[in-house]
Amino acid sequence: MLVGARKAEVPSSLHAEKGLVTMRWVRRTSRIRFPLGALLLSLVSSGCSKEERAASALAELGEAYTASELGSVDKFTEFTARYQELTERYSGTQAAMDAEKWLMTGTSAAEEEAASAELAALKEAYSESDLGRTEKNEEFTPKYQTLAEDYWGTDAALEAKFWVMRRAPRDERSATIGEDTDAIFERYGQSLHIKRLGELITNFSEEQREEYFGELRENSPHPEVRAAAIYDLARYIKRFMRYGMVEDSPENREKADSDLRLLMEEYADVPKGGVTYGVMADAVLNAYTDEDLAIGQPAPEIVGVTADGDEIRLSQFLGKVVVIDFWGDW
Amino acid sequence: MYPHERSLVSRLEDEPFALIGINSDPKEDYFEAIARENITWPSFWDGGDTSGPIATKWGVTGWPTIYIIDHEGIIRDKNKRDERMDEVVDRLLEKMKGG
Repeated sequence: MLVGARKAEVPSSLHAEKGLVTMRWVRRTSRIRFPLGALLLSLVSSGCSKEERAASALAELGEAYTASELGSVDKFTEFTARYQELTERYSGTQAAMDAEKWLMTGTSAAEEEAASAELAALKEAYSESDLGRTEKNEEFTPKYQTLAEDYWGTDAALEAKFWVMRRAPRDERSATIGEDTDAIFERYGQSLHIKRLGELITNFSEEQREEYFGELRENSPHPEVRAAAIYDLARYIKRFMRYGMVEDSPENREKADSDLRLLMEEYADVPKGGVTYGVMADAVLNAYTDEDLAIGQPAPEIVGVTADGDEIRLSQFLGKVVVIDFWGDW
Repeated sequence: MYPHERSLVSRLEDEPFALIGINSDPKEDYFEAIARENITWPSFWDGGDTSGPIATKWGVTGWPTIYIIDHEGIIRDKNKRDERMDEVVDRLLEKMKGG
């Protein structure tokens, strides 16, 4: 009965590992009773419960993780140690359980490195292959698939899996994409790597989009994943409303806009590429219309940085004839 | 694309003209392209991918996208490339000097 009651308190985890989480929770609740005296003592001495301190330590760790500029592998190594320490120090608390969940879905730094090296080699072989596009895809699909299976759980494996999913024959695609995505959620649902899911957004049906991105924004422990899920869906709706692939209704507009405002309020400092979700949400929400950019209109100001980090403004060049060239080296 | 733009920039070196890039490459690729292609004109670096903030705000979905602006900051033409870009720029420079 007690177990049943406790079960209800387990935060809904994503598809898998529910059983595992519950087991850990039960084990931990039994531990709470034992150091009750110590717990009460610390409660009195600090004026703040262990639960609260654990929660704030976890929040701090989450923020530090988000702010960290380390590469994904180094970041993982460093934060694995820190999450581990938190689970030990605050064992028995909800926050420690959440930290354990983070650890459960992690992968080792060595595994991440090996997977990304193999993926890089595979991409190079693909780009250097002289085969025609169809033959090339046929030849490389099993290779990407094997990599995904061998290193399942790593970021590179997820990228490889996406590659395979995008190249599935059109008539099979809608049947397999649901199963494949469920499998991804099983392994990656609590992982930071799943922030990539937006790369598949155009391949999902409307129902699938709502389900998958809704699940991530509600349940991911990572601010970066939640922000990505909110942003990717809002941006998709805004963009494809223009092309008539999403219904251009006041409801859809308002849904996308209010999510973008939410990003600006609650996820403004979460990094995205070289900028933040605050900056990107503002860019989508306040994008110029075709009329704003029509011939005869004043060009809107651009404030930005060069790759060296120096500030640069379009208005600096007033008094000169200017060609603005959106370019990329590809 | 680069050779034409290089020659435009060097031809108009002493004129009130500027070519400004808005670049959507990852930083390493950007630096590599600048060095390899001898790109001397200034560029905004747009967050490292094609969904960067400037391209997003300007609704750019194809590359290259070109805007040509006169000395008063008014948009005068779009997506003219190569010789047609030169023609527009020369015309705007003449108009500017003619008052």
